[in-house]
Amino acid sequence: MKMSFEPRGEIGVVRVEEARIDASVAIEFKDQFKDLTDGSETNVVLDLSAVDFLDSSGLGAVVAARKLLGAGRVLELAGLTPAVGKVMTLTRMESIFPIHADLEAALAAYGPRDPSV
Amino acid sequence: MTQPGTIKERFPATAADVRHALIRTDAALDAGGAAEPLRIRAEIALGEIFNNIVEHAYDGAEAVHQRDILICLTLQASGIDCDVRDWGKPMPDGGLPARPYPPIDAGDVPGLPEGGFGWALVRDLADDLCYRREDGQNILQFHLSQPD
Repeated sequence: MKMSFEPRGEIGVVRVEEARIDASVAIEFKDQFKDLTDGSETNVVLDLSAVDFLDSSGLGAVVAARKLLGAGRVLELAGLTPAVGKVMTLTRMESIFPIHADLEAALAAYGPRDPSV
Repeated sequence: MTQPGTIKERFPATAADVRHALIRTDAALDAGGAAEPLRIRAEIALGEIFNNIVEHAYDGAEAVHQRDILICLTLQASGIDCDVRDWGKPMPDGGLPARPYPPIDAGDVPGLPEGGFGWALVRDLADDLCYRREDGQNILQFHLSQPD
């Protein structure tokens, strides 16, 4: 599955470029997340704006991604589409993931990267 | 003959076929006039039920000659009447798991649950859930109500 990582100062952005995180790609999602974030030590924002659908296997993989970062780092979520947001709400995931309307809002929450810009 | 507002499908019980069946079903419900909140409810509930059939009903070495899932969805003003059938193993203990959402403790990162959400979602989203075993078939019937 297509995923990318981009360090943005104090936070890394993992973007999922697939329409669905379901049972057929859940393990692949977790493996790729691990590979992409392995070298970094920052918090991570997971940009899900391209994802239309997430089932409980996909949700389990996102939780697994959270665990990979460890207790000292945070996994934030951005750009939840209606179906993904519904699954997150029903399963009470807001209590473990800070959720932002979109990537810009997530980055803004970390403040300007460089005061001179 | 299929009536207007009725969606009937039979597809192989694999993760890839489940994905395509959900995409087709969503498009058919959209074409039938179902609004997005109801379609979201249907996609989440049906996805969990189909995954359960793939992973549990058809799990194991037993030879099953019809490894398929059969669905009949009827779109009504009040929501969607659903009938989902398979030829796999019966539900353990003959009934549907009565599972609440797994507890989440934000302070215990290593202990966060990675599974156990499926039936809780189905029970949350579906009304009048009814399971029975008949002629070697698992038959699950339920109603998905129009969200308020």
